Amino acid sequence: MVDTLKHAAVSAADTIHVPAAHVAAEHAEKFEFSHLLAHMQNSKTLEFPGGHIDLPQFPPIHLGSVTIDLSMSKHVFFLLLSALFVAVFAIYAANRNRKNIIPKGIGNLFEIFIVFIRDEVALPNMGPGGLKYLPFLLTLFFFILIMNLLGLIPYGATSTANISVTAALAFVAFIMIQAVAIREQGVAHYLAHLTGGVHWSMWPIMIPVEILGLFTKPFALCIRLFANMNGGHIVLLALIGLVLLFRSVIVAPLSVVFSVGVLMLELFVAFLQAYIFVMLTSLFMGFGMQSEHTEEDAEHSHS
Amino acid sequence: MATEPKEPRPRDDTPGLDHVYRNVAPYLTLGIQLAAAVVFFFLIGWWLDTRLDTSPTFKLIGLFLGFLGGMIKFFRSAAEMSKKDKSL
Repeated sequence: MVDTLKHAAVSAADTIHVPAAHVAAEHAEKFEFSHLLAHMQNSKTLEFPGGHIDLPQFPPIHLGSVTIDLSMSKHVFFLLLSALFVAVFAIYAANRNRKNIIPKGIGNLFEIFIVFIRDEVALPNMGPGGLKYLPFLLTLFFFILIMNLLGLIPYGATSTANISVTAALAFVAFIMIQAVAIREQGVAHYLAHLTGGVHWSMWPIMIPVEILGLFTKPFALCIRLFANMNGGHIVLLALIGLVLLFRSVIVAPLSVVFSVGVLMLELFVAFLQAYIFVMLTSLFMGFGMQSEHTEEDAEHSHS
Repeated sequence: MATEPKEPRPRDDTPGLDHVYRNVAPYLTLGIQLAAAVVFFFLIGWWLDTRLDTSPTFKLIGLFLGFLGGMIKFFRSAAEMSKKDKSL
């Protein structure tokens, strides 16, 4: 996707500036624009103020016909960094909160989020029985949140703007949703639910449709997070790219003001998308836990 | 200058984001599901056609079955939604 964007941007620059006389400037501009776009892409180098380091590369592993490249990339680095942040801060906050009866500092910050997830997400969606899945939801929330926020600091990269990362997160959510449904309903009821409650002659059609239905929810989760994290970056690039396109100082203030606005919006979206991902995951887990009761209720109302 | 006590803001009754998502979540993926059902059965038909060299018989049958299954699922979900609405 980023590749096609890059091509579109380069070709747009071509069509706009072909009549322009200064060819050298055009080359410089092309470089700048693709350089801007490169910030959104995954790369094998890690940039920091004053230089860059090449991340360690491993030779790809061959498993039959599948080739797996497990070497580090920028997104992998920030994914591991956010995992480290979550672990260190959460353990530190937990130890501090154990000592202080009234939490303060970072312990207090964590408590706000934890209480919010417990009272506003887990309890309304899953009921008191869902509290045993609260650690999973909290881990998911903090992990996604830190990954989103790391993309907003200079020289950072948004791991969640990589569709492989969101797909893996959605896969974990998918496993969890199915595991909770099987655990709470039992295998027999879970399989019965897959038939969709239609006549047995329709089962060959309805069972694939229901199984597809199981996959569409995590698929939507994956695409939602990926698109939201990428969208803000694309808008930012477009706004900054305006300066390069118009080659004029007059555009710069407008571009900067709007960029700051979009950055504020991105800060909000970073929190919102982490919340929505966890919210929907817990909601689908809650459906798996409660569907037994609702169906019993439905059967009672029928008879 | 002493700050005057602020009037309590009237509590707005508009449902919050969490409320909206909780109600709408089961139906967010209905469209994808309908499309996925049609595409899935069409691909099965395509595969059967290339295996048995009977194009386009199984593609058409697959399209029909996918559309049928998708629509049944779609309308069952819609019926559930309206049933829930009445109970509210």
